[in-house]
Amino acid sequence: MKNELVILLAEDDEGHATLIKRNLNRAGISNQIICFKDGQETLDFLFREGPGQHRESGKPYLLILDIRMPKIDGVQVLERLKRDPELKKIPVVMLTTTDDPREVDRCHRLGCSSYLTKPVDYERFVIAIRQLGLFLSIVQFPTINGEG
Amino acid sequence: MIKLKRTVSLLITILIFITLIAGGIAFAILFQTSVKQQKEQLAQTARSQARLIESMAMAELSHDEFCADTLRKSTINQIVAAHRQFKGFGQSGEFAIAERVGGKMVFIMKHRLSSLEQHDAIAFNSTHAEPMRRALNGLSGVMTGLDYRGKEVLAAYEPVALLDLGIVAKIDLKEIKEPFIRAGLISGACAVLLIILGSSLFMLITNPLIRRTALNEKRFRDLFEEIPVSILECDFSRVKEYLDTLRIEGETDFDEYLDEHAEVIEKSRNLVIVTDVNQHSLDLFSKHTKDELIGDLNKPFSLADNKSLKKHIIAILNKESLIEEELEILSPDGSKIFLSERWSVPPTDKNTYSKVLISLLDITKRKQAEKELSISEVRFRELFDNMSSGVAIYEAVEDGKDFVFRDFNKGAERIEGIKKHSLIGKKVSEMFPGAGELGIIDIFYRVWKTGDPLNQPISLYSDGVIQSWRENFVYKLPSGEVVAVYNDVTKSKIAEQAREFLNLELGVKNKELEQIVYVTSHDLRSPLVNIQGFSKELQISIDSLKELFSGVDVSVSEKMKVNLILEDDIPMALEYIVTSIKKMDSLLSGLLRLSRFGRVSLMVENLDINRIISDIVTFNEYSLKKTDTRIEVSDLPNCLGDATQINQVFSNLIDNAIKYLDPNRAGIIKITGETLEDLCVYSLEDNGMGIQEEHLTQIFDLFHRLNPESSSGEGLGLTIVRRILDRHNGKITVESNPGAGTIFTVSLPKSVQQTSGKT
Repeated sequence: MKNELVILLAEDDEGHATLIKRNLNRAGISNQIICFKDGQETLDFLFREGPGQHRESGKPYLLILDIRMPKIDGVQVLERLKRDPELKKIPVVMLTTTDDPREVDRCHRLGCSSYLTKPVDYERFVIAIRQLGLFLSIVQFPTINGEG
Repeated sequence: MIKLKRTVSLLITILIFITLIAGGIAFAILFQTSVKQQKEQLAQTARSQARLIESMAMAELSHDEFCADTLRKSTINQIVAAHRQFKGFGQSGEFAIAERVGGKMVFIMKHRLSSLEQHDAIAFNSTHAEPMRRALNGLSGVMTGLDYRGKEVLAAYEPVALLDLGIVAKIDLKEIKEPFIRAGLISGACAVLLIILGSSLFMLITNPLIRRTALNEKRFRDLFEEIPVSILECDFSRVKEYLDTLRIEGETDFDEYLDEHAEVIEKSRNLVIVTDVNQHSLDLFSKHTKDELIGDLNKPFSLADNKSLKKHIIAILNKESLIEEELEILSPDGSKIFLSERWSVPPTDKNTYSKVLISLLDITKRKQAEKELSISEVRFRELFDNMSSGVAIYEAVEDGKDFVFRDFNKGAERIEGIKKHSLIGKKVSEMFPGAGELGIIDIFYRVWKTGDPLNQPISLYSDGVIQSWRENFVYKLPSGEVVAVYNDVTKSKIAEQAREFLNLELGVKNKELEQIVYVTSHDLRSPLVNIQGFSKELQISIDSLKELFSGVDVSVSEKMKVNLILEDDIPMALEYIVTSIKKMDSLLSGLLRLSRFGRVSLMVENLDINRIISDIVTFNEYSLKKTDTRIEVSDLPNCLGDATQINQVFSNLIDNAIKYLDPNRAGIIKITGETLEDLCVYSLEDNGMGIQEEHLTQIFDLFHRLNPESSSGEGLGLTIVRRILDRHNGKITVESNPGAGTIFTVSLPKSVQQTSGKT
């Protein structure tokens, strides 16, 4: 399906990425998931820079963004994204290990759509991811155009 | 002035009298002389006439001696005829010729008032015509007396012997007197006029002099009275006389002599007379009238002042006329009065000592001030020498381009390692070549020029030999000298630099530490998420495995073995893993929170603690009810702090109090507060389990928990409380009675405008 939502998962910890993917699957989310190891890869994909896979025009995307990442962290990615007139339409779910209220506040200010704390408590993590899956299944996502 | 004028008037009157008397005498003498001349003239005239007549008669008689009577008559007729043409001399001068007829004088000839022919007769014994009577009596002479008319005349009388006639030449006395009276009157009038004119001129000239004299007199009197010096005018002449009688000039040591002869002083004392005192003396001796001082020397001076009198006596004995000394007298109220005395004899009274001026100046205040000054001088000198700071006093030279050392205290000697004597009088630039570069000479110049003190902040002095940090405070003395108070702050500067470095390092380390806590707790959670997540995945896999395995046909023993692994070993391992993860997670989130409290900036404001406590109580209502705990809150003062963090402090403390209640009794938590100086002190008292003494010091430590089994939490509550209070400049202390309860005391800065009570 051409207009199926693509989930972009920027997460440097492969374990976390695996756990997220598995749980999204268990929650019944079968959308395509593209994983990035760091902020740079994510930006390259979105801004169509460098080698590797690039964003396609006209597709709706959702970005699940870990804050703590090497090279370029999640907050910087969010900043870049929200400064771009087209890309800023992409909903961003921040995902982090901390629940520091200041960081949460900062991300909301920068325009993230949602903020999830990775709980060590697995049950809660699962619930959080499933809720995200549920959210994804019912929300209409904007398609991102952009040149090329 | 009036007195002087009266004296002048008297002088003028005397002058007039003297002039008049002198004039009178002159006129009297002139008059006498004139009368005498007149007399001689008259006498001569009378005599010559008489001789003439006699010779005429003689000539007639020589013709015929027998017809004497006729002849006589003829002679007389000739005489009368001869005199007919003669009008007399002067105005009233005339000749009178008379003969005696019986008891009468018959005038044959009179020139003036009656015709020559008329022969009047006057009784011989009449009071009139005394000269004629004398002439007829054969007398010759000059006299003043009444003539035939009864008028006073000057007359020369002469008898004419042959004819028995009397001749009188006379002139009215009035005629003689008249010119003199007229001249007297005119000259008298002139004299009086001249005197009046002269007096007026004299008055005119002397009046300003008189006025000036009077003014001077008043001025000196006023000065005498008003001068703030007590002046006593004394008469020592009797003392001088008495001393002269003693004949002790040979004595060499009068002082000793007087010590041995106290009676001399005593006697002299009674001989001094105080003749005048001025107004100020009354004040000095606390008297109301001058009479209380004038007279006896005992009036102003008591016997105790003999020392002073002794000096006066010695001065008289030495023939001196001036003594200046200081003396003490007792005032009526018994306090000491210090006087500066000047005992002086005016040159005019040098020998008699009849007038001695004693001036007394009250110098009590000066004496006291001097005493105080000397005390303070000592005090400041001691301070100057003993203060740790260096003090140097300079005098500007070369118009302020350089400064010369004038004084140097011990502190400065110590700092510089230079002795005072080796640099007094030397130039700063010479002694301290680096002073110009240090800028201190420029500061001296500015202070010297403007008089405004200046502070030279800590600066480095360097001249190639010495290098030290100096701090100077420079000011100007009223004398124009410049003072530098300074310290060698090299040691403290080095210490300060070390401290600054340490502080900086500490700040960096602190930040680093916080960063480490933050990063580690953050990053450590990542693997934990994996461990936890994959443990769960494992569980899921095992569950699937179990399901799969249940359908597989294996031996009972194998099944039991597999079951043991799947049912016991693996779940137990997983259980441990999960529990440990939970614990680790709890520790990490605690660390995170703690580091967060250190990083958050404080919003300090006035806090309504009553409100904060009531919010916390409401929040904890459920647990309070559940534990059957009563909370009593009294009115609490407002303090300064960050609302969130202070809320955390009291939340943690109340939370703890509830957590550690004694399950055997109903809990009571009392919260009270008071203001002590600039602090608000709050006290939370519970009747819980209490804390063992050995634990009291540990309860604020990180992750310390009293009984981890029976209560939840990370053991961070009190650590956070102390951390917050540290950042607020607050304090927390604890007292506990194990088994009875615990009291936490929290102190925080008082709010800016203290309004205690509920708002």
